[in-house]
Amino acid sequence: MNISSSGRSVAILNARPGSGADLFGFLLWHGAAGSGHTLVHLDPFGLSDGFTQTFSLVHEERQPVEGSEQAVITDACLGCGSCALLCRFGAVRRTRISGNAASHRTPWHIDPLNCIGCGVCARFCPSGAIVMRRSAIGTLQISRRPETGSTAISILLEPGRDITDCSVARAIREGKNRRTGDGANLFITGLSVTSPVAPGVCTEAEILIFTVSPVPGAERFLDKAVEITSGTGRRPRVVVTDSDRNPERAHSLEVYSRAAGLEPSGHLPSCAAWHAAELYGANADRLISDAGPASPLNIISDILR
Amino acid sequence: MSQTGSSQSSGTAAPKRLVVAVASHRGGLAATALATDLAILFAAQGRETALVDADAIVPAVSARLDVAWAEDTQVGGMQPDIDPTRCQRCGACSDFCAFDSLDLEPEGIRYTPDRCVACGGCRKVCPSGAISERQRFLGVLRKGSAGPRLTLFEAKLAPDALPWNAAMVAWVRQSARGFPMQVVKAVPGMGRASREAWHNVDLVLWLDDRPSGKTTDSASLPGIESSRVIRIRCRTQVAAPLPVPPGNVSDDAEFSFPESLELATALTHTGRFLAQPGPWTEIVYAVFSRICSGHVPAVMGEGTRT
Repeated sequence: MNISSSGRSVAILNARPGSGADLFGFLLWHGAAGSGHTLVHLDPFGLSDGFTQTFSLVHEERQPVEGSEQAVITDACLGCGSCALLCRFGAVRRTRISGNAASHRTPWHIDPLNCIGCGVCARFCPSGAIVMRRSAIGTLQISRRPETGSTAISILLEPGRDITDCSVARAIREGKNRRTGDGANLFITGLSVTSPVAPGVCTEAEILIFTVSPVPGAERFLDKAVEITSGTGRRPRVVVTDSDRNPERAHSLEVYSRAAGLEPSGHLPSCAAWHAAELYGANADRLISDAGPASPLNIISDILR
Repeated sequence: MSQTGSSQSSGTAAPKRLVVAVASHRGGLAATALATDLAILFAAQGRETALVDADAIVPAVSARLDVAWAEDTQVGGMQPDIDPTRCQRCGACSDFCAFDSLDLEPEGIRYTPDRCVACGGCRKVCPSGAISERQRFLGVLRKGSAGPRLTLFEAKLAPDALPWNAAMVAWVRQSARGFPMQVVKAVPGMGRASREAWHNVDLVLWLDDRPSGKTTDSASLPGIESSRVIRIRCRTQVAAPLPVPPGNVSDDAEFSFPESLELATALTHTGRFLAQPGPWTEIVYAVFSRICSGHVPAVMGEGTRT
């Protein structure tokens, strides 16, 4: 299979969460002709271990990923508590140990899971005890497939952290740098349109593909896909996944997509089954060749043509 | 334990009061279907039940139910209001804003609401007192009846108010306060909006399909004690090798509980699982009886839904 005009950045996002965008992205990255392609996987839980194992990935690097700036209370804190009054997000806390006197409480601290990074506390702390710092919100994992020279990059978030625009930008930058060879593509996947960072990814990628499975309410997710891509000037594609589960609904979703200004670009049946069986690994080649016209590579070569 | 016999035989009564969140590590694990059907089951047991859709970006639970919407409540937050006659164009506010919501331009300060969190910092740093705050529209809270004793609550966030996502989840949960039974459908993942969905609940059902041993421990779900988390291992087995025949997954799904609950994706069963028993019905009852912390003897047969 030959993906002709290559060297593009392609974002494959779930319209509805769980519609198999990551599977689709894995298969494209695995099966695309040429070498040196990069996969950027933005799922909050990183690349699954199954994926890493079945593609015999060599772990190259792990780098901390920093989030946006957050407030940290230093030892210079006098304990006045004005920061707690100023914070509108309830991020400044202390815990009562015993009794009611101030001495019976822990020092003021900032809960990084709730600090939004506005900097109001740091600016107005009378003793200058609060600094704004970036801290790690997760790990950037970089893996390579020696036989093809392709790279897989993912962000593994610490529990409770949200993926941020700057960490996404970092992963994409890394992904672009690590493409080797002229025609190498960048595939970005793992997000759904309900993610706050999805609009940024849609601006970044040249080709946008939304996967959607025929479940109740799928149309609302397509509407959201239209909404977040309306400013990009690109015509987003729609691939209906698990289309064999409910062929009638799959068809009506295609009609709906077309009416909404999206371009239906193929079906990908049995996606959930493939995913559950972790067939994207050892069986990926077979999966691609057996899928016939619904093969992810057929779908994307049509899109790129 | 493979799925045997009929567990529509559920004699377990729902507790009198319970707030349960259904959350998952990724999408596509039938969390929406499970939340919806548990709520239907609680309501069928005579409990006043609130089903709370905690996805404020694309609320989709209502697509599975016939909902008679009753109320819309607009919710607002704050935003800076810049008085151009007093603004000195010094740029202090734009320097301070960590979210690039205020830009200093020759004709004055331009405000972009998309990333503004309404911290109020710009008002405080303005040396000429040109900034006050006023209300802005953030979204809508909706409430509707989805059947006897079943009330659906959802929130729809305005597209330019993404930083308010988690706040919206907190508000929609607040609007369901007072209901003895509450089922909260969280967005996938462990981010701020998800954590808000399971803040202060009695129980979290955490759906996870990662292979065992690699699964994040329930203990590490942030913001909730591990004793309140029931982890449900989802695994949809595919019996036949490729090519997979259509319908294979939901028909052949087997499950045991709690070690490896097989969740069918319930494309056709949602909302009708009481009247059309199938593998999915078994799963809903298994989860229900686990929640009630009892065994499942007899009762609730076909068609008990009123």
